[in-house]
Amino acid sequence: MSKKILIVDDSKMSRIFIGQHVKAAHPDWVIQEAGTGEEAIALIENELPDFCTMDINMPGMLGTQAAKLILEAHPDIRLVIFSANVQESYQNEARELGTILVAKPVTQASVGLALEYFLGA
Amino acid sequence: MTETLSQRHFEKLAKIINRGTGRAVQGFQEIIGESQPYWLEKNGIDVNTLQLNAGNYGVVEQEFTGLLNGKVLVLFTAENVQCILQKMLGDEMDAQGLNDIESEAMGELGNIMVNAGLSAIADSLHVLLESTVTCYKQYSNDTIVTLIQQENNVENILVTHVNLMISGNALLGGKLIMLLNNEFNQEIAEKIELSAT
Repeated sequence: MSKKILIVDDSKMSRIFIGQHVKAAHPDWVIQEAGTGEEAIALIENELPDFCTMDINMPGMLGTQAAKLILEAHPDIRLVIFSANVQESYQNEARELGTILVAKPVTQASVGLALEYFLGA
Repeated sequence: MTETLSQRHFEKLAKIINRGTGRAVQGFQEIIGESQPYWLEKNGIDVNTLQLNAGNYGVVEQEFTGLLNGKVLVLFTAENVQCILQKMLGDEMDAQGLNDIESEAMGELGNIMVNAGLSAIADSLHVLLESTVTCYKQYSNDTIVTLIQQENNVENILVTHVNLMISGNALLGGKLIMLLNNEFNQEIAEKIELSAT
């Protein structure tokens, strides 16, 4: 069955690359994009994705804050933090949210880790 | 009182950053090709030792805050920027397309390198660092020197050279430059001493 994934990142490049790798592995998945945490929260209110990738450093709220709000409201969404900011404190925060932090750059391998997490449930 | 890092502190800091950027560069290997980072310390504020002689550079600027505050610049020559973009985005994209996406792509590349280095510092010294979103511009070498000289209170400059090697023959050199201020130096020296005990 086709799944829906929301890619949240202020970098258009990262959104394109993540989307390309997801499409290569799952051509039938529907891809949505948001450039900020606030935009993602608003999008999710209208249309619930199955999966979500979330950057940390973006204009406006931090991705970890947005992830917390999203997961509190919609615990069924499988979400990964996808960031270059791999400090232990953010990895711990991801664990506390019940998710994982995948390190950038966006590559087939790093997106593969996210997909493995999404489908491992 | 001004605080200049001792050689031992400087070398320790350079090694930590090198470990972080090394991890990021390994990741780029999958996108760009064979890559290899190495560091070259520059202790002091003599910007002439940066050897900026390429004319124009693509410059990513990012500030970080937390227990440690400062600014980081990532520099690639304008020529190397075009090569990196072509490699990242594929041969099918024309020159106009590359220009349109240059700021976006180089900003993200710089962001990944800076955050990898900062994350390594944060984890090694058990501090939390937050960084701003990146700003990318093209500057002449003179403007970069002026930019660095205008930064308040810079006591040390730490330079990490980043080599991106494409297809084993074309070497694209870049520089990650950390501008270290007095407060940073005091904090980092203390943290390095603590981590050694």
